[in-house]
Amino acid sequence: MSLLKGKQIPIGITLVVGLMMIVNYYFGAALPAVKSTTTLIQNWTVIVAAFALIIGLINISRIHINHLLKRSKGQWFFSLWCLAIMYIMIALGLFGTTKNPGYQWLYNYVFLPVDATMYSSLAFFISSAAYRAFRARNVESILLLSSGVVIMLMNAPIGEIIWTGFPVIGDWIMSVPNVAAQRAIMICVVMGSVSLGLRTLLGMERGYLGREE
Amino acid sequence: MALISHQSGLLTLIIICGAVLYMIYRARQGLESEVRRVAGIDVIDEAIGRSTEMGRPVHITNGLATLYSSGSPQTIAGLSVLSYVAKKCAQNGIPLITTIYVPETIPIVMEMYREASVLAESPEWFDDYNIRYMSSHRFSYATGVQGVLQREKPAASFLMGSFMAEALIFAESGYLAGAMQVAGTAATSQIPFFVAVCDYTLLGDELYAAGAYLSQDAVQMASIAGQDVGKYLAMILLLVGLILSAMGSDWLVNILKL
Repeated sequence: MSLLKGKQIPIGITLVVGLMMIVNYYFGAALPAVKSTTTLIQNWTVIVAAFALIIGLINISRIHINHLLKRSKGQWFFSLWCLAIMYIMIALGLFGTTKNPGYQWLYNYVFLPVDATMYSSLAFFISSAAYRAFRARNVESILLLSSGVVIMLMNAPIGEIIWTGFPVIGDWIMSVPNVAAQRAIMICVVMGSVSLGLRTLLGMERGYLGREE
Repeated sequence: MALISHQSGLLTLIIICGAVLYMIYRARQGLESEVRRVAGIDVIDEAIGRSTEMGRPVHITNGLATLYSSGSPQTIAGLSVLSYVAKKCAQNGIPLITTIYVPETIPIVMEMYREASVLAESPEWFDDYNIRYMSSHRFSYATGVQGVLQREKPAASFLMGSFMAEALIFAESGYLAGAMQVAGTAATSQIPFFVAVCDYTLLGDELYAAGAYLSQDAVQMASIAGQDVGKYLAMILLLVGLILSAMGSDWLVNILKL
């Protein structure tokens, strides 16, 4: 019973499956049994994770039904709208597949435009973030400001008209210092991934298990 | 057909894993490894303290990477931070709002909340209303998180995990809500946005180290020191590659392609 209460079983499964994935990556060509087993496990993972969407559905429903029941001020009508749209989409998708005209209409004429609107709002967030970040307070921010201005002029058609050197300098900034810094971060990320992976396989990193003990 | 693929990668993996395991062994023998301070992790307590003083909630989100994608290490690392933040919030008695994109993390987060409330001997702290699944569509999730930040005005917001274009929406909304923000991601395309907007940013491997760092466990900290050996190896390879490349030799490139 104590074994079931503890984390030994999930840690053991993690260790075995994790090692199997590593063996498959490097020796998969020589070990077809391992390759087929890992493919099967990966398919299971996707299926299990898809079922987690039901948990998400329950979570959203509980939160918004609660708002409706309490008639939360300034919230309950949004909750009603959220639940109505969510369940209409689910019903149309389940009973008429995603090819259902109603589902297609909601997706193409409600969801996609709203989605695109959210994406485009990013332009304003970038402007306000740039306004604060591009203040020449110290040497680093002066470097950031000047490189930002050059890159902006490289991408804007007027930049090349002002001075033909902007695209050349901008291209150099993007392909030399920028790539160098990104690769340095990527190398560190890989080292960090290996270390985290090892800690996870050894059962030292238990964040993914929920409880520590 | 070669029986072993990515031979150079396997050798590198063995060297890095060997170094990490050696450091863990040293730590178990009582020899502590020195790990540099990471300001972004040290400041987590300060951000929670700020929320406590202001009587406002704390917000955390773990980004987009599912537990079966290549970005899953970021989610796992983010969950470790969440676990720590939940315990601190439960101790201080302030609400922690977790916004979720990856539905399979909901039960994990619930367990963390339960454990935090038990450890703080404060069962009333656990309120599953604060664990909010938004959507598994990126901009619907972004809209939901933005709404939470704007309506509930958290005094601290932690953005820990894999993010894409929505990163700046979160960071800017958090700024407008007056939250102290600590972000951590290994997504190089989003790091500049976080650096520009957030108060502190964990760059790449610092996020992965967060769980071990926050645990303050000497053995786990030693594993962070072990990964530095890999960085030294990368530096040596870069230097040798640079010299050989300048001499017109592709020898190292061909070896690494094996």
